[in-house]
Amino acid sequence: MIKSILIINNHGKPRLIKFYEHYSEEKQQQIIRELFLLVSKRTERSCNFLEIGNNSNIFDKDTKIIYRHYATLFFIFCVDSSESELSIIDLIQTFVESLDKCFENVCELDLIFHIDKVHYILDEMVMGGLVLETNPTIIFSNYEIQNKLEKAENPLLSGLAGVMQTIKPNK
Amino acid sequence: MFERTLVDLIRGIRNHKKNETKFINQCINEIKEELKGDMQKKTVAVQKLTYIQMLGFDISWASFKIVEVMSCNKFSSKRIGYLAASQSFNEGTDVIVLATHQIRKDFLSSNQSEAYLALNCLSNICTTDLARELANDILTLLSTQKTHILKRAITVLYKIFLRYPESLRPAFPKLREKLDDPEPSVVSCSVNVICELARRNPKNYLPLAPVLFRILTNTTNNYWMLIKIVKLFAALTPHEPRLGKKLIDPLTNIINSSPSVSLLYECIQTCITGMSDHIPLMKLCISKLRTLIEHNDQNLKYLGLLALNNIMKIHPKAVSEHRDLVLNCLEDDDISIRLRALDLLPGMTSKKNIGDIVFKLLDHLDNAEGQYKEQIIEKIIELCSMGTYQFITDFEWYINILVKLSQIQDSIHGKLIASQLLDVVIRVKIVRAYSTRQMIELLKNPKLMSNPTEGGMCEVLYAAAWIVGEFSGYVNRPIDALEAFLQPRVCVLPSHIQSVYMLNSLKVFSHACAKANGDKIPSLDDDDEEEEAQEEEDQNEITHEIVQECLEIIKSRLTIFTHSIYLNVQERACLINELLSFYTVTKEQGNNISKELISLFTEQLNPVGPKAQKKVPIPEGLDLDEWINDPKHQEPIEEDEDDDIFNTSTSSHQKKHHKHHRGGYDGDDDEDDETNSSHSGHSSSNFNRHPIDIQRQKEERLRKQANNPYMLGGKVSKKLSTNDPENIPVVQLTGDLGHLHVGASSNRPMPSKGSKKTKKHYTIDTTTEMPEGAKESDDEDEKDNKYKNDALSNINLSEPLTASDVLHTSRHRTDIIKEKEREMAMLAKKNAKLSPKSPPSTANYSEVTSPEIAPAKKATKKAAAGSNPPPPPTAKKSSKKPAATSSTTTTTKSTQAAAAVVAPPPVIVKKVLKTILDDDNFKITCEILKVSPSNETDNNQIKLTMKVQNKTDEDMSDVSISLKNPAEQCVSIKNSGEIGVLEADASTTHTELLNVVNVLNSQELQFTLLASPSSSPSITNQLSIDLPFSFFIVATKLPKDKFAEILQKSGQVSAMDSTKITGQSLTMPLVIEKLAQQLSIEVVQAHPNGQTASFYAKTTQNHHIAMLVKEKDGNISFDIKSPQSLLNQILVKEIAQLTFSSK
Repeated sequence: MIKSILIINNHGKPRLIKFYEHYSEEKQQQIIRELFLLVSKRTERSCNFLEIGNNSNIFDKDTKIIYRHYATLFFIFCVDSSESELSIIDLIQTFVESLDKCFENVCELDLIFHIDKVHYILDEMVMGGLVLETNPTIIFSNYEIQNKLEKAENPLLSGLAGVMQTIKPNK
Repeated sequence: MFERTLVDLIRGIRNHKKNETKFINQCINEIKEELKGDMQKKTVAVQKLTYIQMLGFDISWASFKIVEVMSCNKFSSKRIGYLAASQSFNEGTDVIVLATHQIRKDFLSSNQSEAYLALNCLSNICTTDLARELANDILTLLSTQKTHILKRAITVLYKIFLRYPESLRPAFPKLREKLDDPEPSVVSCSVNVICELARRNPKNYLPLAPVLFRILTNTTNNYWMLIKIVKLFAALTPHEPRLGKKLIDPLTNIINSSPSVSLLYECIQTCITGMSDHIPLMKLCISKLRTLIEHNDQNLKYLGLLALNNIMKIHPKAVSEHRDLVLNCLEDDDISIRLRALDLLPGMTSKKNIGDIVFKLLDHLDNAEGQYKEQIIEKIIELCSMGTYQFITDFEWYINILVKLSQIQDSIHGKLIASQLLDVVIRVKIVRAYSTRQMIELLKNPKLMSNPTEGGMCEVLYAAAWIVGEFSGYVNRPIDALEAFLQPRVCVLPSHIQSVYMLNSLKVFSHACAKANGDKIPSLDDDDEEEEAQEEEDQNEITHEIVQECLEIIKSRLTIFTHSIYLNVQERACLINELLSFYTVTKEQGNNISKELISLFTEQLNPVGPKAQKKVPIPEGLDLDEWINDPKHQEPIEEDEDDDIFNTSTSSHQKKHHKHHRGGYDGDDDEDDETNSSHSGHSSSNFNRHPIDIQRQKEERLRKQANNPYMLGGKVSKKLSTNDPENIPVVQLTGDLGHLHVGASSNRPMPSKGSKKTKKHYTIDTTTEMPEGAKESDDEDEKDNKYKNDALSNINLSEPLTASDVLHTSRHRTDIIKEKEREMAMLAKKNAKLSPKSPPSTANYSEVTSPEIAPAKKATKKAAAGSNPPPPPTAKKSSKKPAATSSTTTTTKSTQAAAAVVAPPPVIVKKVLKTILDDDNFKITCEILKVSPSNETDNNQIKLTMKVQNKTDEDMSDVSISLKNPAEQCVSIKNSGEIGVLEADASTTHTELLNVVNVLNSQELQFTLLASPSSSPSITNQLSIDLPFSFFIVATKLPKDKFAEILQKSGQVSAMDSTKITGQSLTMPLVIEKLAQQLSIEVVQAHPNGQTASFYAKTTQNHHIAMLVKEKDGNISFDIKSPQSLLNQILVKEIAQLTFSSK
């Protein structure tokens, strides 16, 4: 099972957190900090797997951490031994491709200002820690169906949102 | 007032980088206000809260508002609400119960997107309560045709199982079905869930192996699913060796040809866990792993090493061929890869190359830091100590390595190095002289004392001090050693190390004295290397002047320790002080007590087995669960107890002495240490009383016990005689503390009756001390299974479903109230025996309707609306009523056919257990299961499980059971085939999966049983099984307008029949209840006077059934309308079999 999915930027700020096991808010932040510490030490030449010492008080023994670094963002998946390392790497790629379809050349700012959309896309891919769909096209089309529903419900607001999106927020 | 949107909030946070928390707190206050506003405001507020939660703020206070937003009709708001819930709700969120109904409503919604939201959210926040409440609805959802909903429903099942493990058994057949689904993505989701389940209890899922195998061999492109299946097989194969053989071919195929590296890799992993004895396959795996490790991709390199490590545990030799590869990886830039390569080293090491490898590692150590550094230290020690130092040829070299390791700053491995030093020195006698010299250097080294922390590198000093003291026979310059021991900086060390320093300084001094006097030193007597040591000493004669100097040093420096803040240090320092004063005094009197001093420390030390304590066998006849003393009569033994209290308290005190006296490395396990000390520590003769004293006391105690009426006679005295209590340290050490004999007379060691251990001497002493009678086996290492006590993994799926395997179904409160009302009404009616005049009953269905709604009816309607599907009888209830609905079995000879029909829970599984044959030859019981009544495709499938028992005392051959019904009635889809030989008194099961083609003419299933007894002519038996028609009725709640519509449409219900039940004084509520329970026929409308009601139901083949039931003087008349009179007749028959016994 996937235990958690996190997106953290190069400065350790969380851009998406999704925990499929319950942790208190405090513990969640601790995990983010600890993971960032581990991940930020890695070089580009390093492999995509993280070693957890036996004495970690946050992660239990049966935890594998798999991450990928894209531009300013770390995509980090914490999984247990029932997941295959290499397929999780592919899954991260799927996630990024889906985000790319949604935002067109996705960048950190997209994630910051449209965190809910990122969640919705993720929900189409992983559900409760189990993988639901691995095809970016299907993920995106399912996501679009729901968006249309939302737009149909409130044409005015969605029009506004569209305008907001075109005037991309400056940093 | 203008509210912030989410974007405003995010912008604000970005603009307040300096005081983010303050800004957010301000926003939270605004949000609290907004949550009081209208739904639009609330939605935005909840959206903002979700964002704030990500930053680490607790938003549980807003849980109720989140539920409100979740329940909003607008999809956009609902979506936001569900997201917030997913992110913040947990098992402790109490308002979750309020959301139960909303979640159910949403995932059953016709709007797929709403269903997605609800299912997704449920998978994140599923609590035990939610799981119990919703399990049933999720199962119903599994019959949907909508792929995307189905996928989600399957996935969410896993969370339901996790929180509500009881649901696994009833729900599993449905999940199993999904493995055969034509849609690959549905199969994939089912495999995902089963894979998770199988990790917990693989045995349960072995029966799935054929299906999984088929999927494995038939799927080519869905790598995600294939990987999961291969992983699943890895969990299954250890439990079924034949499976491994079967998998060899397909897996070899994949390994050789698959374009997907991830699949290839998982196949290799599965081969390693399940098929490691297959040498060609293992060779293939290793060669593939080699290509992975040589690959440029760091990930593949890493995983390759990981898998290689797994192979190494099984085939170390095969892996050691690839030493070059692994050693190369030690040079990799990536620490993860280096660490994995380190793991592989133990398999690569030999006598020849250990030196090179260790030097390489030491090299790495110079630049390493943090975790990597610790790992290298650990690894060096692991390599060297492997197989009790089997690869080490030069122990001086190893001591040097350990000394080198001890120079590393800030390592956590001080204790590890210390215990290695002790172990080597104790086991390898030849290295003692050398080590002692090295240890003195270590003691003088200021580096180790620079920053002492408990557990840090200074722990090495503990070992060093002890070695120097224990083997002070090899110390040539005692002054040096003593100066090191008593330097003022020692005060900064942890107290346990200081304690060791104290006692060992005394050892050094004692030895010096003895040597100066030319006394024989017992400990060196039998050592081969003694001469050598002696020789060295000769060059460096210890004179009385040196001893005197030593005395001065100790006396002058001991003061800081006699004032130490640590009790144990102070105690020892004082003891030494006193002893030395005594020494000086006696010396002045002309007596030299150096002999006595040295005799304090003469006993040899042997290594003690790591599990020695655990392996002490329980003495015969000792039952620790048994009361030794009768608990009721404890007071009278007071006298005895007083004695005991004294004994234990003093002895524990002494034990402490004893332990430190021995000075062995004091690990974490104090208990172990104490026992060890009693067996193999220094002779503690000085603390013990004369054996005659003990003997006398023992006799006296035995006599006392014999006279004491409250002592358990036989057993205790027997125990005493067979197992001397003197063996137990507690008793051995009984004695008055005051007597500290230092005189020569008490010098002889205790005759140790108990410790019969033989003390052996080896060059490398690999033997360890074990208690007598300890088992040799190593089976005490229990496999650490993290799921051992997990409820879900304890569920057994191999047993057939029983009546108790019913899912919880929520019942509306009013339902229960209504039921009570009915019971009350029944009682009242029975008691009063009134026969009120019935109002003119109407024969027309449509006229039943009454304009005003009576309270009772209101309740019924509410109940109907509140719980969908209708409340089935609980398991408990149905078992209370072993009703004989269809008690007539048409078996040829069955006379006592105890056909118990368990009122079928109408939702998931309908089940009936019947004895269909019980004659001289056979007894056959049959369990009839109706699985998945709501799935359109196999809605009329019946599963029969017949248990056939051979009652004769001869074997039967050619036993077979075959279906006789014509194909237009029902067909057998799958059966377990011919039974074949059934031995005498044996029983077997025959299963049959039937599809009922026409539900109207298949009330009786006909089977032929054939068998050939070995000595008599063959037997043919006709079996017939009544199928309860309720199997084919679908409980349907119908609104009254729809009902009227059906009645009006001609042809829908054209045939009409009537029947009556008389003489039972029945009431309408009871009839309503029983019809729903036993026949799944639901009430549409009941007249408020409680005398007329209309009912509706539908068969699985969509025949409408309408009924009008009238009650008059406790007699009930039924008017049945349906499309065919055949159906009416069946229903008449079923109604006649209804049971109304209320208790």
